[in-house]
Amino acid sequence: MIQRLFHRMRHHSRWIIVLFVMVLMVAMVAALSVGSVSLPFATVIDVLWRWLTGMSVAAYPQSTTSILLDIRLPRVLLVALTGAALSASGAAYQGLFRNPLADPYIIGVASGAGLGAMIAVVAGPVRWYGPIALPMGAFLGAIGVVLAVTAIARRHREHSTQDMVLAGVAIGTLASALTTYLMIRAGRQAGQLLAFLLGSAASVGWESVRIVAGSLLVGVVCLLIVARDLNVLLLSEEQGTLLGIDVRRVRGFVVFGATLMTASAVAFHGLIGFVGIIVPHALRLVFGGDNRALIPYAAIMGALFLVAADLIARTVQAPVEIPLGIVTACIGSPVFLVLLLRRSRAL
Amino acid sequence: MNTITVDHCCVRYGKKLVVDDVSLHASSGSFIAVIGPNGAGKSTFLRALAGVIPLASGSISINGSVIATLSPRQRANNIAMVPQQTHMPAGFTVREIVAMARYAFRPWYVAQRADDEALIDAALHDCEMSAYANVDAAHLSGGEQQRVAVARAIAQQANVLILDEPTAHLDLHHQAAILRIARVLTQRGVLVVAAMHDLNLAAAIADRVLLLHEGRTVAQGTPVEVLQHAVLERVYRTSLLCIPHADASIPFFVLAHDSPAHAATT
Repeated sequence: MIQRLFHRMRHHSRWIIVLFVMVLMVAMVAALSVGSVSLPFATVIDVLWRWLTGMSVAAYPQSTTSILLDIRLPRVLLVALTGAALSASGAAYQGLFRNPLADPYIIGVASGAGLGAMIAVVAGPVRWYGPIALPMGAFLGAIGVVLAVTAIARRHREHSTQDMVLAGVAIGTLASALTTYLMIRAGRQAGQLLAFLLGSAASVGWESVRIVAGSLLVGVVCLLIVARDLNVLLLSEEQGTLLGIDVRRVRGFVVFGATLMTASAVAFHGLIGFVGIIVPHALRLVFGGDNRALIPYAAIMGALFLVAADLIARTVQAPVEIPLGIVTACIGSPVFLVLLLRRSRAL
Repeated sequence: MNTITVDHCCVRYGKKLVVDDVSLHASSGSFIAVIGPNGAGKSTFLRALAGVIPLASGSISINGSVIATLSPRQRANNIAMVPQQTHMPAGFTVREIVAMARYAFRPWYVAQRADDEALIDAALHDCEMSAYANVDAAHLSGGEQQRVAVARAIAQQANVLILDEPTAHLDLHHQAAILRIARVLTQRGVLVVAAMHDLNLAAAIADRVLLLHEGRTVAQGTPVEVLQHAVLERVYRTSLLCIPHADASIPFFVLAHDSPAHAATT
């Protein structure tokens, strides 16, 4: 029954994704209207329309436009972009490692990015070079972890699924421990850094949005270039070679694209777990495993998932805001455990 | 005319020499059966032939080009291989799996063309998998997955088709069907090289047989030349009976009454 429903949904996948894009728009408008000062939907839509088309927003009070355009819009956009980046990179890592549990958080890449970003904050590069040093530090930390995990997974081919997750957990834990140590040493900055680690998007600016959007664009393009060939690597690397695929090129594009997206998302939004595992897994069940569709769909659904989680984080205990990472962990951990208990089949 | 030349090929796994000084020359339109006991180096030899593992020494060339120097796409254009173990990833239909054979021949931004679709349809039809085209390949039985892998290799349209124990998971009907397809491909000019455990099947279908033992060539030639009673008993370390066959040109072997396997079952 469910299989038949999934088959029909797969047949109409493009329309379903159009529908989800519309739901994402509605969720973003809802996220823009909710907050300490509640704004009507109509006002949000009108101000956004005027802003996008270059018309004057003088008809609205300065406080309204300021809350909407300077505070909430960059935050909601950053949340959506982060969700898209983590989810698309999760789908790509799962394809590369042929492992349904290969979420950027689980395999330690996000922790590596967090450590890299933290070093960039406490050691000075952010003070010297501005916000751009944050994703660069995160990228270096993340790429170090992904290369280490890849080397371990390739060394023990026959146990690569378990080995990779365990290696990711070990390396991620070490990165988290070092991050915590740096945070303790940070003294007065510690509270702010803790909020960062738990994935709080309380204060973001347009520059962060631009950097994450740029990284997302570059990352998704890299992944789409090799998405078709990544399908073949799901058979095995040897089969990929036999079918004429340049395996090293595919691996290089995926590692660069997915790690860039993860690193920029973590650099500006802290560590948010499980987005990269829940969303691609659900999409794969419904729409199948073709990465040419899965990666862009994962980006759209990841954005929707995280915008919805952010709405929950902001409203469930209002006016107190729960860090977004806590909400995604509460949803993601049970899903992860279900996957694990079902001895989730390698991709 | 496509030719494949294996010249004193050696393959090592660490310090162990798994394929030791094997040579072979074959041309299009023939069926070569590679036989030998477990651990003889059949699969390793086929993987070396396909260019997916490096040689310790010697060379393998196809139409005069050394395989190791070909790009992945050139290699896929020349050689297709069905491995012993086939893994079907979840979430892909049978048709999508077979379509992967055509990926390397189109840029990533170009969708499948009508001639690709026709090749995929023909390959599915040849392997009697058309009815399963829209089924998730991961949900199929081992034998059906084997046929999907063969269909994918056929859709690749390569000059050389390498089959590693192609009938391992198949019932008698599908064993015959796959071997019939292999025969049809040889008539179309494809060179088929297959590792086989069933000596009688190898004798019935192959034009030439390569018998390997501990990585070395024991005999090479027509089935009648290679499948010699005394040689097979020595290589397989068991007693065999060679019994008359309706087709007098083909030797036919069964386990002898005093063989350990036969004693265990009686």
